[in-house]
Amino acid sequence: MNNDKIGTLEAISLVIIVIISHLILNLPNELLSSTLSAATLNVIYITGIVLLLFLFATKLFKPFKNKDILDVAEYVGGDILKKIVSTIYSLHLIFISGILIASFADTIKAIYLQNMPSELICLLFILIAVLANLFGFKSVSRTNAILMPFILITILIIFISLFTAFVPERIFPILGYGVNETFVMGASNIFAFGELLILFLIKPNLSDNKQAKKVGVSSILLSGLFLLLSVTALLLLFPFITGGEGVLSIYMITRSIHFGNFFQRVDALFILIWALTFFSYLSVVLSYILKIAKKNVVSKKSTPFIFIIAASIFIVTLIPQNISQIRFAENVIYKYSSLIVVFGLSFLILILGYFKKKKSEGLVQIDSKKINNEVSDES
Amino acid sequence: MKAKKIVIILIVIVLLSVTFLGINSVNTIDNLAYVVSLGFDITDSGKLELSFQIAVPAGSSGGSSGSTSSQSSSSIISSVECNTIETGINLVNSYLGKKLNLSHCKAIVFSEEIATKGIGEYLYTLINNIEIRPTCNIIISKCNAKYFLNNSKPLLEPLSSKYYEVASTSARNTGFTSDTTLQEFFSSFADSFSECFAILGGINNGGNSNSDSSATEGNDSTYTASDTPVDSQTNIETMGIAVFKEDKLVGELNGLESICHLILVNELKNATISIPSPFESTNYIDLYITKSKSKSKVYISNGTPFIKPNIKIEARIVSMSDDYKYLNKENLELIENYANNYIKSYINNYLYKTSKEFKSDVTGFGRYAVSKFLTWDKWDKYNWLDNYQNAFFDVSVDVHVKSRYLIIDT
Repeated sequence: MNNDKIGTLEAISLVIIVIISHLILNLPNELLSSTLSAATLNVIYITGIVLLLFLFATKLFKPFKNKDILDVAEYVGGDILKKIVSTIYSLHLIFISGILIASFADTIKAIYLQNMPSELICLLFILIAVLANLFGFKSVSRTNAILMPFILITILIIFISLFTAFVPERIFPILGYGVNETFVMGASNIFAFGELLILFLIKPNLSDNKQAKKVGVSSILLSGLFLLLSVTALLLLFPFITGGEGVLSIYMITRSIHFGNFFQRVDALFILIWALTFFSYLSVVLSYILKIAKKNVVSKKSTPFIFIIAASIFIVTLIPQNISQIRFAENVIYKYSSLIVVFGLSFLILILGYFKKKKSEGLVQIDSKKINNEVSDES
Repeated sequence: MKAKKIVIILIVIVLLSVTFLGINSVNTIDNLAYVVSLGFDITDSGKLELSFQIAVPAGSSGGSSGSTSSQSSSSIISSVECNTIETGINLVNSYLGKKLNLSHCKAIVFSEEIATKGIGEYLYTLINNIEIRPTCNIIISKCNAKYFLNNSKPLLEPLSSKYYEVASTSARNTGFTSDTTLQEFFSSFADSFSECFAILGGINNGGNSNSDSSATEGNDSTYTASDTPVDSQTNIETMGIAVFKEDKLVGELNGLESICHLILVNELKNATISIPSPFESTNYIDLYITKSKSKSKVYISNGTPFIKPNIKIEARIVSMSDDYKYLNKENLELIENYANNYIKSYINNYLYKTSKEFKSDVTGFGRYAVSKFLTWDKWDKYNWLDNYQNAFFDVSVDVHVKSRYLIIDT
């Protein structure tokens, strides 16, 4: 069990990788399409909401030390609820990771490997994730922690290198479609942080459980910052993106980067880093689906599950027949699945668990008072 | 544990196999023909005519005498009549026996004729092509695009691609055109703040131009491409800016108007302008603009745009005469006043030309106007691009002339 314990930095890296990987693909474009020029305001707003929700979840988790969301589900509804919740979480993560890998494979195919079947590219990614998981969770988290600074630096380079090309006035009209679309309907854009589900599962892995709050707050703020940088860069650089016309939005930005006449076409470097990001992302998600599956069937062995889960992810990658189906899965299914599973179901379980615990503690206190009174009466 | 090791080794073998599977299908340099520039013309029958300037690798005997090819320095030109860009590329692929690759394409040339009819449909295809770089230049040729490419003979550069790269940046030294890229052009085309503009190109026939028709008041900066009185061998030249309304060419700006445009969009690096001498009416004083900064404010009064550009320019005197005391404070002030009025009048002419004649906001004042609106709905209803034709301007110019670079006093 000690092999699964990780430090604060490794934990933050794990959470960030699952959000950043969405950012490389269609997420900024989707945020821009729904809020137009108010996208920067919206990102700040949803980051604030997610932070408040996380602090609320931390409060709800307080009575459950060293427990994850599945333990809370078991406490609330017994083994049956735990099995139902863990199955829903597994299906959610398998579906999302499968779609994301299919999307990235399609991107790679469009840019470099035109003649290679995208199924083969997906298989390559999944096999690497399997290989990484055969070495264990700790090796996955450590490799991810090593990669993380490079991934974040590439996003910073994108932002800084094109800073002079930005047109700040493109941030206007400041309210985009209007107040309602930015702040009321726009609140649903918290789906961008849908992969924060990992935060509800990470607690038992932390070597220092008191750091859970720090891990959550740091990863939400960092993810929010990089989401803000990506959306702002797109908005200030490509006004036509707001019309939903940019498909490979962040890749389009990298194609504009050049340092004088000497350093041109640096996009290949970014693609390399992003491929590593997706290797890491898939390894992390596979690790967590494994953890859920092991808890579901109360097993200590993980190797048999690795292949089954990997095969399931591969099957999901085969579902979309074209890019519009991938976009539908990314923008609609992922959005509502995240809102229902991560921000709906998880919070419902936490609230029920919290009140059940408080109620039982209250009963215990009443019982102990009764016993004390009876003892004093007898004496 | 042993089984786990075997599984790991098997996965590594599969991974290596998958990685090498793709090698057979990879295009190598032997299979590719690199396009340096791409030309768009329209035929009499209304069909698209694509012209490709293809780089000839060193050591190859380029320029076959095929019916559709002609030689031009280290490149050949192939052209094809087609319905779409992709089918045209396929036809040329079949003729050349190689796959055309656009990843080194430095310039996209549209003929004036096709640009007047509208180039929107081609723009979407070009911007979505993974091979074409967004930094590739957009040139509007005053002549046929095929003729333009045929005459692009690098005089001082051994490579055609290098020639296009360097030629487009000459705007930094002269200010006579704008270094417009595909990305900038498409951004302006697709957004609701501004209209697009491109580099204006033409063929200089070595001093046989009709320069009298375009130069005004004897000013050397008021030419457009193909009209400059340069006496050299026939070659392409870029001078001026092609102005678009939506995706259609509506007019052109000459060299001096291009300088005004670059000043207003804060893109002017350096330029030399001649102003009439305040001391002698027949003479000119050359000013070398070293720095310019423009800040614009847009007000909307009763639905009419009122635009106030505020321009600050630093310049130094580069021409000399035997009896002008340029170091004299009063003379310097006189030159500054003359320069202020001269530049202001040209900027006013440029602004009213784009507003009233072209009805096209190529300067992009819309991006200042948009801050007056809170939501897209209100902005869209206002329709800035159509309202720009009603705009009024109040230009303020502040030229600061330095004479300290003079080596000797006059």
